[in-house]
Amino acid sequence: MQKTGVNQSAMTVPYLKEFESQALAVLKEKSADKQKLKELLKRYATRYAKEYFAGT
Amino acid sequence: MQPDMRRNILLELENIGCLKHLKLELKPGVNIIKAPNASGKTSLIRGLTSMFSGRIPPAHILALDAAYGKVRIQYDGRIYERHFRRTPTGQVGSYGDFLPFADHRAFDAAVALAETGIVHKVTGGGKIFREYLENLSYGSYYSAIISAAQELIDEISRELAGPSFEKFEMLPLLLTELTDLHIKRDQIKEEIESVKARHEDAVRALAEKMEQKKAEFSKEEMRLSELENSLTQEEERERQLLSFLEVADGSSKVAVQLKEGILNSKNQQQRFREEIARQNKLLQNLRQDIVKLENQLEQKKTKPVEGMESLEKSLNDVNKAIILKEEEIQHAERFPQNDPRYPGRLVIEVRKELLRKIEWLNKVTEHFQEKYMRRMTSARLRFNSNVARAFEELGLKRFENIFLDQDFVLHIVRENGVRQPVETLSASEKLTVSLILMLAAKETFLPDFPLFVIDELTLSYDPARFKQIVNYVAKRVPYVIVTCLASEMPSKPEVVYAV
Repeated sequence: MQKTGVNQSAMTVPYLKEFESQALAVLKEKSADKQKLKELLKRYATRYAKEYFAGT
Repeated sequence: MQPDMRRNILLELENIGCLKHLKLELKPGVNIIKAPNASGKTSLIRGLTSMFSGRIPPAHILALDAAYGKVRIQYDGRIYERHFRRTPTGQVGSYGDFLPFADHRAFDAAVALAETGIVHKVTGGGKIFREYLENLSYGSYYSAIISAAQELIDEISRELAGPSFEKFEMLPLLLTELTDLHIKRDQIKEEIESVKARHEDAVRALAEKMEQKKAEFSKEEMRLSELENSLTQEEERERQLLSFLEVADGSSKVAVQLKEGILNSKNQQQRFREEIARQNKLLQNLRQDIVKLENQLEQKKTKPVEGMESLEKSLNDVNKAIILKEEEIQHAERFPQNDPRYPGRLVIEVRKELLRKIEWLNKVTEHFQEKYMRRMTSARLRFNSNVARAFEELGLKRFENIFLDQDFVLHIVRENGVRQPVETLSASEKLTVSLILMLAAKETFLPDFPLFVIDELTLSYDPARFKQIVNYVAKRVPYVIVTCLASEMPSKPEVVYAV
């Protein structure tokens, strides 16, 4: 049941998979930079706010 | 066991800690490194650790008096080198190879140091292991994402509560106020029109009255003229009658009639004169009335309309207030052109965009919270299971159960079911518990990592128990490296193999 939840969540949150792979790459860097992670989050949040509702 | 793990590891250190130069050979099995105090055991462990984890800062590894140092390892037929260099400013950097099985988590799961990590935590009475399991299970990655997302949500929320958006929240009120001002302006305008109309009516009425007076004056003037003519005629008639009387016989009937006619004429003239005098008086009054009306009319036309000044001032004030309110509304609706973040953009659009950002960040937070919970629960259960197996296999019957609860708090249950706080364990028991927790962590999260290092933990330990645990570790890990004190040994570390 939980696994289904994950899949649903991953499917319903736009750009999540793309974000996750990039976020994990940032976090795996030797000097994991929180600011860099926040920039990445900001970039995807902006993309969602601008693109996902385009035409609505 | 992998066959390539069964080969010896050649370790060479140069200017590492207090070691100028040292070569050691580590064999599969238990490698006991014996040396007296301050002879470089911990330096050796730090140097070795630097080849698979960057957790120890390079400045703590390089010899204090050296500008350069090196760790060299021959493993599985290959040579790996890591270099340490001090810059002119005194900073120490490192570069070079890591061992192929390098994993920064190994510092927490495979290096038991008295002064750091889990051993230090347990011996210090620490009992909450959330962060420890977070780091080992990569749950920390998810918590870092959650924390960063929350920080961003907070930042955006603060921005939305800031002055620009606060004004936008006031927009309905500002629009109502603007409507009220427009209504007030219309009312004042209506009143001004009404006052003007009343004034014009009054001027018109005065003018009409004056025209009437003038017409009356003309009429009365004609009447005066008629009276004056009549008087002149009557005077002429009297003169004629007098001339007739001069020639008529004084006692005759004609003379009597002429005298009577003259008297009548005189009387008539007297009436005319009286009437002319009245008429002149009337005309004088009319003239005065006309002058008075002319003055009144002039005054009405030239003097300001009563009440108009204050009304016009009110109208001016309201117009100014409308301009200010419209500017305020414009600022509430749109960011200024020189705004560094949203130049000239509509506030409602930016607000919507920020709320959508929060929406995405909330979704991401929710997703990773679920993932974090699952990852951490799974990590905890596997960890508990490995801890239980270790205690069972070691036959440590004085402990019935040792586990982390859902809040990652360590519980220690004695054989009689009594729970004992970790801080009340003996020093030897704390050491046993910490080593078993670390081994369980290694088996749970780094099952293929080939090393397990125990640095000088034997001082307060029961030798038989220590041997039992080391042998237990050796069954699971290809290379076990143990350092311990040996006062009679030479001045630099040497390996005693105890396979």
